[in-house]
Amino acid sequence: MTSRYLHPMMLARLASMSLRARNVVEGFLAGRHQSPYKGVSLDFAEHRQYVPGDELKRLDWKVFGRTDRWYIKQYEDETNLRCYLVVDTSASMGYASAGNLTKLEYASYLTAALAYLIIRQRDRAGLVTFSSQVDGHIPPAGTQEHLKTILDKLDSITPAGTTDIRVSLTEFGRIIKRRGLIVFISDLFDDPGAVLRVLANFTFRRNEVILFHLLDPAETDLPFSGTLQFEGMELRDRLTVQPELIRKSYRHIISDFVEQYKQSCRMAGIDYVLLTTDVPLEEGLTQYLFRRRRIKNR
Amino acid sequence: MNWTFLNPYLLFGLPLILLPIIIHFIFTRRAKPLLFSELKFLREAMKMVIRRFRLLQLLLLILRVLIILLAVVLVARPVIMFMGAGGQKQKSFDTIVILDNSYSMGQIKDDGRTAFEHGKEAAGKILSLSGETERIALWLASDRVDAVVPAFVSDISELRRGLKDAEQGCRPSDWKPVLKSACELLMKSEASSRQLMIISDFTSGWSDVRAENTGFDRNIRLILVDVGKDKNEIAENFTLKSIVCRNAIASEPWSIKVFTSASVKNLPVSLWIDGKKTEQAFIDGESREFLRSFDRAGWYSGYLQIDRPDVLPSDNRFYFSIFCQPRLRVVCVDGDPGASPFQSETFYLKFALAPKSEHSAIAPEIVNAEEFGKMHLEDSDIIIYANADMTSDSALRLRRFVGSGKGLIIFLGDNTDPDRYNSFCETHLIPAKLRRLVRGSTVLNGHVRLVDSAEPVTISKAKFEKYFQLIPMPDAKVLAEFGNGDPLIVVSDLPAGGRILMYASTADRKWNNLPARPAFLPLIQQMCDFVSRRTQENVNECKIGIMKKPMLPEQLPRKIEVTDPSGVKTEKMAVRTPEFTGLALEFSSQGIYRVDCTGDRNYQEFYGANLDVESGESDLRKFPPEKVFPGFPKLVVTDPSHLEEKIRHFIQGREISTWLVLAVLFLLLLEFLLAGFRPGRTEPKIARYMVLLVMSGLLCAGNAAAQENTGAESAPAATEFTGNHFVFMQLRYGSTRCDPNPFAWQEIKHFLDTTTSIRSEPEVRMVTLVDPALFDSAFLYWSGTEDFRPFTEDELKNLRRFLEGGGMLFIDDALGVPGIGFDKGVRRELQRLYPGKTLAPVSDNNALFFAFYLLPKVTGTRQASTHLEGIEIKGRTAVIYSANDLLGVWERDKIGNWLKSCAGGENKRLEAMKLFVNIIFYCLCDTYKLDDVHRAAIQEKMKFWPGGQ
Repeated sequence: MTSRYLHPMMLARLASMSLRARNVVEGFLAGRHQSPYKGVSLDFAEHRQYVPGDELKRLDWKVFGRTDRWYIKQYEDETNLRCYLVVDTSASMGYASAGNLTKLEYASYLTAALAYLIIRQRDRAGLVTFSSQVDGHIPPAGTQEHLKTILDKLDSITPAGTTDIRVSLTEFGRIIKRRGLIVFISDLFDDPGAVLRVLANFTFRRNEVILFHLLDPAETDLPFSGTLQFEGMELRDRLTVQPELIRKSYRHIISDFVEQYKQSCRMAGIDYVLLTTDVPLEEGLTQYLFRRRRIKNR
Repeated sequence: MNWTFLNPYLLFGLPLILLPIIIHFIFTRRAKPLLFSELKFLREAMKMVIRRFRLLQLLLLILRVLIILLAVVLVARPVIMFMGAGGQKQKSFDTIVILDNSYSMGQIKDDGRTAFEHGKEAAGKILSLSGETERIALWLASDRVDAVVPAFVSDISELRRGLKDAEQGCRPSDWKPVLKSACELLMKSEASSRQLMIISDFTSGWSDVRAENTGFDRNIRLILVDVGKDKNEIAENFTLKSIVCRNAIASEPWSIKVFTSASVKNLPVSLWIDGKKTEQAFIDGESREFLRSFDRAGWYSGYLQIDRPDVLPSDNRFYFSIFCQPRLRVVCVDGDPGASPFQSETFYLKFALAPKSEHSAIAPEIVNAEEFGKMHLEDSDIIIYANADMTSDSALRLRRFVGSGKGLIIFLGDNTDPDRYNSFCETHLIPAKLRRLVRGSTVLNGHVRLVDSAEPVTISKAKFEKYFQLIPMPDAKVLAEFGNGDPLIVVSDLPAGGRILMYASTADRKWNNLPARPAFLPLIQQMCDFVSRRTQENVNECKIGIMKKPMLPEQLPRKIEVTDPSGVKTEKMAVRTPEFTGLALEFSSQGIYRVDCTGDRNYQEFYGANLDVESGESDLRKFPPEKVFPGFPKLVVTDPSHLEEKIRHFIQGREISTWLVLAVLFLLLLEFLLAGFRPGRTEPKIARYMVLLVMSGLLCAGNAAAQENTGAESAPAATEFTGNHFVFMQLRYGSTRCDPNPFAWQEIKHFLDTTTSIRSEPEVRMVTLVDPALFDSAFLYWSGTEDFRPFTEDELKNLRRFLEGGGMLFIDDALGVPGIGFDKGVRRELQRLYPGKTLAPVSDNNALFFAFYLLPKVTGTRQASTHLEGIEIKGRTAVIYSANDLLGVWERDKIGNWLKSCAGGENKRLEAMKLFVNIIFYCLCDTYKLDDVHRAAIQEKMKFWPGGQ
């Protein structure tokens, strides 16, 4: 999987977010021909009667062959999807283990790439950042300028604050005016029950939710050895422990945690994707497009 | 159940218990800080694991503490007492307590008491351990057992009584037979616990004690109480070894030469005779000569005493008794007086007999035949019948004279009527028949020595114009002969002790020129000594023990009364058994013994009884008690302060060390398993294995060491030094003069160190042929000047083993005179050693002459022979015999001058040295110089050899 795509760390060398986004997306799209998701692209959404003046290249000759009438293929870019990119910028997102990006950097690159892709597809993208409350809000729009705004914002965020998803999302829920697709990127270090309840609210209100659960590989494996005094990045609490002793049970706990989210999301109709920061961004994009198509086809 | 410890001081190691606890706490402090995103999962994980983890840690800590605790207790050797209910001891104990009463126990310790007194005190404490179930036997031991209480008894008062009377003895130590008897007795005991306690100074007599040859085994508990000096203290002890007395004749200066056991400096010695101090001197070296003169003949008893106090006083005196001979009264019967004294037959005789007319050992009386016929002969000791006619009357008188045990010397001459003389052969008066007169000048062959203690007389240069050819009688012996084999001196012994000597020529210069030669005087003196059976050495001193004096049955006295040094008289009988006839007297203490004999003759003798210094008992070097029966557990006590407690614990308790070792090993295993049980640990497992192994090893070693109670480094045994060093072994054998060249080895060693690459042991090692140390080196040096006691079969067997096993024997005749003394003894013994082989000359092609130097000449301080002689065993010359006193060339005195002159001159001295170095190399390297690889080089060198090939 990683042979074709860039390791996320390589993107850090690129100077600006727009470059990174473009790099990822264009590369991804270019490689699309081998991708199994051939169908996921700028594709046919519905037909419309031909009116003189329309571009002839958009004529669907197959339908003409069948029905002897002239129809134009309409593409998704005409669907006017509103996409909210909601990113957790709490202090815990600032964690990185050796050889990897911080979760926030990863999230930003991913968000940037998604924004680029969305706007390229002529949908509308908006950005929300939160920690213990909503920190930043850029309403969805589809222009290139708007993309630049989003990208600039992504470039500038730093991880800070504690994580309170429930409060933040509730606030966000009030901000949303129209329905749309919510792409939620966080490490979800909060009470799962509370998170899921508030997410369920969104689906109840006819929003589509894709949940990207972003974790560092060290957070899932606990590869440390020796006697270590762990210090929490949000609460600044301390714990001295020998990781080897608790590794096994820690992994169990994390996998239970992930599993809990997965199950609950499935039951709630939320799409759940687990990402670790050593996985190439293309994976995230793939998942986005795949789900978006499914949403579209419902 | 009572606990106690044998090594309580080691319990000070208990604080080591704190070590794991400290480590545990230090360990947990060092934690590296690490930022992490969210800790709540960690906390949750910990909660699950931590309880188990803490429990494990605690368990490990307890285990480690326990291991260290048990290890410390283990090395402190805990003992559980066998107390049953009500304090009754459940087992029975039999103990033999052996107190060393050899004379070395007389050594004085720091508090002024002797080691024997210390030993008695220790024994007294031990006796208090006896009781109902504890029986004790009390023995005194030196080289034999003197049992005070021979069998096991419980009665402490009987034991105490016996102990009180115990006295230190005068005997040397030999522990092998003693321990053998002790083990035999203990084996017969039926007690559940058997002990052997030895109270000794541990100085000598232990070297050949082994478990195999004494019957000792693990069932016997061994307790050694050391009352001697500490091994680090140097106990210097001086002893007098022997004396030699010469010329003990009334009115003559006698010499008494005293020898010490080891070389000393400035040792004050005094000579006491008949209770009075007669002389005092200092000894530097090994011997000292005193000159005394007494007018009266008879017994003189006394002692030599070392006046410097040393550690062991009892060996500082040497008792002796000397019989001072009266002057010999010699009657010379002059058969041809002649007109003037110059022409008398006995002219030269007279001067030879009494060179100094005043003080002379012999009082000659010259008579003619007539006077002889009339005189009384009872007062005379010797008759010299010089060229006198033998009438039947005179023959009868002579016969009666010698029949009473006296001596007769017959010189022949013109007046000798052969037929007349021959007629008296039957009556055993004449030792040889006179055949005919032989004329012509004939030179005599060699040297004559009639008396063993005298120097040989060289009469080879005398010219004889006429002599009688003698045919010796069957029981007569020829002591000297002419070059053509005709006897010159023939002797015969009579049963009653008389001796007759016949000389084949004249006593004056008519028929030979011997009387004018310097050899005449010593010859005549020796003849007189010989026929009168007078020994030059008449010192009576013997070792404490049984003295045997063989005598002829006719000479045995009827009644014998022995007075010991303290004045106690006892009566003894003479011994008449098929194996031995004579006197067998026991001397049990030091001092002068008087023996009064009544019988055919009534006479009195004195003997000086001395300690057996040659046994090595006076050498107070320590044999460490830990080395007694090495490998067996034992209790060694040097500090007698808590003696009873220590012994009681050792005997009555049971050591639980083995259980402790097992417990500790088990706990270690447990600890290892538990510690390795931690989740996630992979690499350090190897380290843990190593630690486990090392700890187990240390523990077992520690246990063994604690059992053995060592902590003492062993005294360097003599054999530890060899290995790649050359050891110069010298043979000690049945003669008092085993070491005629005592200073040679130091010079030789210096030569070897500077000229060759041989590294040698600094000291000469004296061995006997029954000493197992004989086989520790390949080179054995045997030298002497006199004849000696023949070897026993055992000694010959050992020597054969030595030679066949690769050893080399180098024999050096320090006398340098063939045919007599040492030479005679050596040839006799070698004949017995290898009856099929003879001493053959060593050829010049022998590897010996190429071994280091090329072709050294065969010489020495004397030139009795131009070649070495040897015996070959399997192609190797295993026995080499030098008749030239080869080692005499090395001896120097203290200033550095050579002590002996070299035959052939000083330029031959180096040749003799080279020869000996070659012999050493030949011994070490064998015949390798004969190998082809050397041949070319040797031939090259030989081309330029001055002596040619």
